[in-house]
Amino acid sequence: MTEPIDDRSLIRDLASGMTEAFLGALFAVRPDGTIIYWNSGAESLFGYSAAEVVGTSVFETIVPPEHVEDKRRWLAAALDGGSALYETVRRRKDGLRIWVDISVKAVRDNDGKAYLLLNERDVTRVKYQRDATVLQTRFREVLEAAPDAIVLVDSLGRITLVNSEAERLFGYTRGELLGQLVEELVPTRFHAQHRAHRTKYFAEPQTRPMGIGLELSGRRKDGTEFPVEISLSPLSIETSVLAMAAIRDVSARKKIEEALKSANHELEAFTYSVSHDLRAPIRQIDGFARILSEQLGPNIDEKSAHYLRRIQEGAGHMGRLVDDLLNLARIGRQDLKPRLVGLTAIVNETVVDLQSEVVGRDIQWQIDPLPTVYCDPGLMKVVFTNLLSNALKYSRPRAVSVVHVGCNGDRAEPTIYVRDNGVGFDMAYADKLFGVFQRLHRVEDFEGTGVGLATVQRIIHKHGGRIWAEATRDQGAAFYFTLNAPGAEHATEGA
Amino acid sequence: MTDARVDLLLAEDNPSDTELILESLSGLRERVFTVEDGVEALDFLFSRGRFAGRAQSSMPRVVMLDVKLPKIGGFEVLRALRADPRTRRIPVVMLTSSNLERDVARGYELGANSYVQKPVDFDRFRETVRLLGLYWLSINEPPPLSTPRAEGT
Repeated sequence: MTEPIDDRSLIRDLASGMTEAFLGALFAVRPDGTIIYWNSGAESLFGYSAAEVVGTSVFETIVPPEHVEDKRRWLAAALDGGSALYETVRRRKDGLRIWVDISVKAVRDNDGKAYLLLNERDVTRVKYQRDATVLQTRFREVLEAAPDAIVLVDSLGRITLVNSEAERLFGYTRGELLGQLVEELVPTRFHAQHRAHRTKYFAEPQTRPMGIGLELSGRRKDGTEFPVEISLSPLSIETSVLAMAAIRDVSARKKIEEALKSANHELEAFTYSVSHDLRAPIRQIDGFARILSEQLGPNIDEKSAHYLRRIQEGAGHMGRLVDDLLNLARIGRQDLKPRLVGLTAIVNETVVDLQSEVVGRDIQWQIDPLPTVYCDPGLMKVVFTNLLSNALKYSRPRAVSVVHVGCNGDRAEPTIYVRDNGVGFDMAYADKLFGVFQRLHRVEDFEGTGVGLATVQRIIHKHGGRIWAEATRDQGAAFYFTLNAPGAEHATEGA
Repeated sequence: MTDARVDLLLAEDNPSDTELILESLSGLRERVFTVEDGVEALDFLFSRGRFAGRAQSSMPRVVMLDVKLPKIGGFEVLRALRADPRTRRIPVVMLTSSNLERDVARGYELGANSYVQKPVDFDRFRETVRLLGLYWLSINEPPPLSTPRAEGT
């Protein structure tokens, strides 16, 4: 029931300012939403001055676009019922959404025209504290068990719940965070960007990492920033959807990554220097020893000739070591360029390349059909070149060298092997085989730098595979390896 | 010494390497002039500094540059040569210990005519240098000397 009043006297009364101190935001609208009165409390709550909004519709200002239909119904209901009390979301002039507690009363002027008087209070913080208590009883155990800082955010961008880790990480108490805009936890320079992303997320909420490819930063209460990784997932509660952000401080990891980067940089500078500077003196030793032996001519005595030969052998070995090491370092840095490749073709090609090393020897090759696999063909050639040339080298004492390349296992994970009938090795030293500079034979018997198998192992690891060997002294050796799916290249190999 | 005809300018700071190169060039030795850093190489080619009296009309048939030279590095020397009409056409061979792909690429990028890694093994080194001398001093037709006037830039 609405009672007619003298509206001019009412307005005078209301404008007196005395009531405002108690009432906060007070404004009056016609049933169609046109604002006819707007007090200073309303100015400070919504950010609009009376001059700006009187005569305009609430539906163009403080009613968020997404709530227009609701509000029209509520106005109509208040008109019918005479008065109403409810909580709703308002939009401030700066676009921010706030929760208000509304007391609305329908009144009539002398002409019988209806008005609605609205008295509103900002209850945003109170509401979130209250709602958090309810949410917390439901989710507390899950949230506290999580290792990450967890922050729940509603579609208004306000924090609805946090766990203890979030309090610790950002340096706020729970009470300080609840109801705040989540941007409080984001450095100011990212606020606009963050608001835009947040709006987009609520339009299509799904589980995903946040800011893929971006460096994300969190901001503590004391203003300091730290790098974070954030995973977002939607959480439906009754009729609303919350975004659950799991936030991890990655400062420590970033620091390690930085250190690793600078170590790699130094290593590269070292490699560069080795490649430039170490070669020259080796060549000079070899060169002058050669020139000296030519200088002395055929009259050189046996001993001097022997020493000169030793000098040159040393220089030659040093040269191969430098080259092999540079090669190993290069493979470590190189990115895998995998594609589907038939291994048989690579093996056949390698066998042809190695022919020049076995001139005059009796070699019996047995090459079984090998699978087509996903791998880097260039690097796989390096693998077979090393394994086959080892097989040839260590079977040199045999009258007939037998080299067998084959494949075991199922199609999902084939095991490729290279087996020879050579001198083999003692399995007690098997773990040393793949170490850099590790050799199980004397250079006098079998030449080599001890880098080849280390290189092979690095390539196999880059492919996500495994390599191992089986041998018996004097009964031959077999090297086995597997290759794994692409993308595994750095999972096992840090360097 | 600078009065003699110079067919090969060798910029190499390591005296041992210089000696090995000269040894390998044997018969061509007296047609080679050696400088020890990038500044000297540029002074020689542009007749500046202690080479101020050198006739600009005479240019070597080839310049061999080490990548790592004191004061001004090999790549910088190459860049300076390619930027000046007087030296733009002179064949330049980068003769270096490095075979790093990015060095090779950089050499060609800057307009090197050839990029040769000095082999560590002396037999191969000697043969490589001998062939280089033979090719650039005997087989290859040197470019007509360009003059700033003709080029007009």
